[in-house]
Amino acid sequence: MLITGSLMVLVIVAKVTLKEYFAKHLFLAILAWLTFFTLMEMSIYLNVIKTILLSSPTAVLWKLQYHLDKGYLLINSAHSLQRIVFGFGLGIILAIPFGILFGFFNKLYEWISPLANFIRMVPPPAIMPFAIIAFGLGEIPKIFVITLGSFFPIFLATIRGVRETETIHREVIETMGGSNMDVLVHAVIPSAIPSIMTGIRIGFGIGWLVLISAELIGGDSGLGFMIQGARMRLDMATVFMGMGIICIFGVIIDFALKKMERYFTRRKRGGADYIYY
Amino acid sequence: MRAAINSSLVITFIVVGISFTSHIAYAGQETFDNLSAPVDTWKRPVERGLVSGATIQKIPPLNFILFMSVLLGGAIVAKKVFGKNFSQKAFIGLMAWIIFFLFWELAFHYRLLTTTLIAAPTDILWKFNFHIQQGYLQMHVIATLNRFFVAFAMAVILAIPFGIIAGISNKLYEWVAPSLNFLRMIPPPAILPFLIILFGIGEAPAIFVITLGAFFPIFISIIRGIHSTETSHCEVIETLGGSKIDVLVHAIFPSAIPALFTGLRLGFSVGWLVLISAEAVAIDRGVGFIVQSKFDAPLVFMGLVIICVIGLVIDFSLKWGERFFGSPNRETMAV
Repeated sequence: MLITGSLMVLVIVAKVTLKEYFAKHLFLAILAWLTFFTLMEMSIYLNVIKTILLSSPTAVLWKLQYHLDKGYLLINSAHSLQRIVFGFGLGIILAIPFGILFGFFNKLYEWISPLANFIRMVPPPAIMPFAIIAFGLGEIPKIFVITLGSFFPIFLATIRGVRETETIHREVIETMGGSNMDVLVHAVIPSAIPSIMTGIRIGFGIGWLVLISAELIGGDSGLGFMIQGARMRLDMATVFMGMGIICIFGVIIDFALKKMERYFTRRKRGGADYIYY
Repeated sequence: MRAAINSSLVITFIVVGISFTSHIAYAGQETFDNLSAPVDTWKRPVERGLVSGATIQKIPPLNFILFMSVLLGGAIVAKKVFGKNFSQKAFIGLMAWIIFFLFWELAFHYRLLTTTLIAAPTDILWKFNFHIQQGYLQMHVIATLNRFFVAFAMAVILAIPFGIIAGISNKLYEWVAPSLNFLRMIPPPAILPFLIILFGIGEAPAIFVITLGAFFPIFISIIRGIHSTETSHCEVIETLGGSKIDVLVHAIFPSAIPALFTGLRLGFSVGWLVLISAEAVAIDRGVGFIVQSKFDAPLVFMGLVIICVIGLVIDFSLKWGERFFGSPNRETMAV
């Protein structure tokens, strides 16, 4: 409490003295978080809220250190990240070629789209039980479900991107005697990339959500399993720690994807600034 | 004038939604009372199909195959006869579905697939019939709809005023945005364990978590819609001597409405996803719970089909609303 309070004072002082070097957004963000943590700590300290319902930031930090020392956190994060890398990677690898294929050949898409729309409406966690029966316990059903969750946003975004190709570009290449392959490489793929990158970011959001719920339902390791287990032991500090860690990983990966999106769309500004899950 | 009509339509839409919700909630409560469902649902024998309360004849697979073939032929003939009144898109959709089911059933008929993992369409239909006669399907569907509409209505009721406030006042937005962007990245299912401790197993954590899932897309869409108001419109009203409220009603709200509907659709898809995982973890009634009945493939598939159908119907009605209120040039990024 003392630390956060003094940090708050420090930040305000720094803001006042170094006015020009300190971005306003950053200042407000830090201040908002510090206020939040101070209030949380105070409410626990003054017994306004019971520790069984909410845990104080210091307890969370202590738990974090404990889990780091024992190595549980490392193992669980590693398992979760391994799953998201395989599942999400597989989703990307499958979705982009299929999206380009279906976007390029309209007839094919017309036949597939009614079925695809129907399957798209099944939330991936609902397929988890089926995946467990089909593939057994272990890594494969989780990876399958994450792949499924991240597949459709990327697939649909790719199709949209391919269809947004300007006809003029296509026609120019065809007039110059280019083959279908040339059209694909020089017109379709470059114009689809920004859309694909947006799809990848949305797909990651959904994949991350699905990963956590898959681990809650049928996990034996991972961050979702960690908080579910802590819930059963009424260990609120670990639940909060797990939530924080999940959040931080999500933010970091999303930030990296955002940077990647910026890099790939540097020639075509105006992508999505706000990203929904 | 148009703005007034639009806003009143939106308000009617929401009010009807809420009254519909309360009606469903009432009906759901009545069904629970009538059925007096056992508490220990995992051992509910009828769920597993172990008790044959009513013996329901299975549809013979050959009849199904024949029926589907006849439908296929009928669709083609209808297309030939009423060529102009039959849109190409509907025809292809119909054909794709019929062919899909036909091959699915045929694969079982020739034993290319086995029934342990995947169920044949006739098995699913049989299960469907059985559950409807037992009254369990109605109970699960009503429980899910009840839960979902309450949560979704709560999300809408919370998100609209907060979104408008945060969108209008830049000061508040600057304070709130960084924290919200961080909180938004917590997947709602991750909060579920905490909510289960807080509220206990039952309706409350599920409703809360669905509300949370549906809140952010709606909230952010409204902020985005308000920020996309053209400055010239506001300036015109101010120049002509309009007050701040005039600007709000005639410029800001109308431009936020299409975004609101986009947000509703996004919020629906996230909320629906969260609903299913919440029902799998925390609750013993609802379609998400049907799907959890492992090792009964026809039942699992029946649940999947029902989830799909309900999802499609709600998504379609929201899409209709979006098209009705939205401007045609707005791109929708539906997830």
